Amino acid sequence: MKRRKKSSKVTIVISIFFLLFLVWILLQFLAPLALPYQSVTQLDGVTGFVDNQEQIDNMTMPWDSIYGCGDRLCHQKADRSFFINGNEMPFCTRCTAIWLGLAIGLGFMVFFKIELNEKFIFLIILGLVPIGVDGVVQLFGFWESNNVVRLITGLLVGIICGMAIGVIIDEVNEIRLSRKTKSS
Amino acid sequence: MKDKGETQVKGKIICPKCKNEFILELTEGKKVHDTICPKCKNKFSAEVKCDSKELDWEEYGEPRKTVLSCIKPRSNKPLIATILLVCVFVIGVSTAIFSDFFIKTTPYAISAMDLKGDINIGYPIIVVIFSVFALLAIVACFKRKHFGLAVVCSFIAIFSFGFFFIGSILSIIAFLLIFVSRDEFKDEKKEKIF
Repeated sequence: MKRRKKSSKVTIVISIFFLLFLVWILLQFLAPLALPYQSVTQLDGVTGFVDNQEQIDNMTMPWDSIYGCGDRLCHQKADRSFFINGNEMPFCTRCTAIWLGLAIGLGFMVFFKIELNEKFIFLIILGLVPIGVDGVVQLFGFWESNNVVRLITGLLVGIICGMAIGVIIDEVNEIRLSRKTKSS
Repeated sequence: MKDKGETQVKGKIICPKCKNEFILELTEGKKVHDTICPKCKNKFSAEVKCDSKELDWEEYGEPRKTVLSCIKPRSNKPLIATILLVCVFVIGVSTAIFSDFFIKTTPYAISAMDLKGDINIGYPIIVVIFSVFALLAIVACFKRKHFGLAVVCSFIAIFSFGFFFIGSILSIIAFLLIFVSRDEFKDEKKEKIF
């Protein structure tokens, strides 16, 4: 791991990704704050279904879009979600943590460069094993996870995934540069 | 100071005090040389003795085998694995974004397995995350480097479950292709930096 040059093209590309995820996660935290107190308390549904269209239609822009995304991409179960200002967040705890982790991971990659090598396997294991164990054990009904565990496991996987996106951008740039050198 | 035209030769000297053996540069033709032992700092004069015996060389050991280098044959297996993993990534991401049908029907298929907890196999964010690891495997396969990373990431890509497990099947094939073509990957650990 080494510090990254601030002016490089790759840094700019990673910064754009980071800013997109940062804005997205900020909007997720702002949405329940912007809506009237205790106006969104029950969004329970199923992943992939639009379950709360009526509630979303009553919201103003851009909060309706954010809750709409949450409705499509997440189950939004109230007992598995954080509440801000008495309102349920647009995504469940694990999803929110993943989005937040993605922003953190990409933010880290804006300043630091990680070389792709076998050591990255340890990071992948560190990121995926906790969420895998928590999810699978819960799936088989051996234990019921709680929001703190969901937050930690989601954050870990999000950070590692954000880092992986940064590494991929770096590697794609390296491949491009080596091809350019070969052709010239 | 060395004079022009003087020839320098190297000679072995043994200190009379500490018996330390060291090499000294001598001027050819000069019979006596004043020197200091580097070990005990003893000052002494060394007289040059020339051994007039002629030395003969003989062959030692087994005859050497001729080793010629040739270009290692490269198959298309890593490239095929790369293409398959690109498909896994595209299928995974499109499953997460577009395919409501997949998400609706998978839980019914899984419920037949009598699982008690929540069914998150159609969980779009998780599908996308597993697909990102397929991208890492793509980079490793394309560069034919980091075999371990390619294997681990293609294994993780199996869990992307893209479009009715087609993504998983393609990931398994890619995983096997990477494993079979492991000799074609450069192992970073074996490389030395000079």
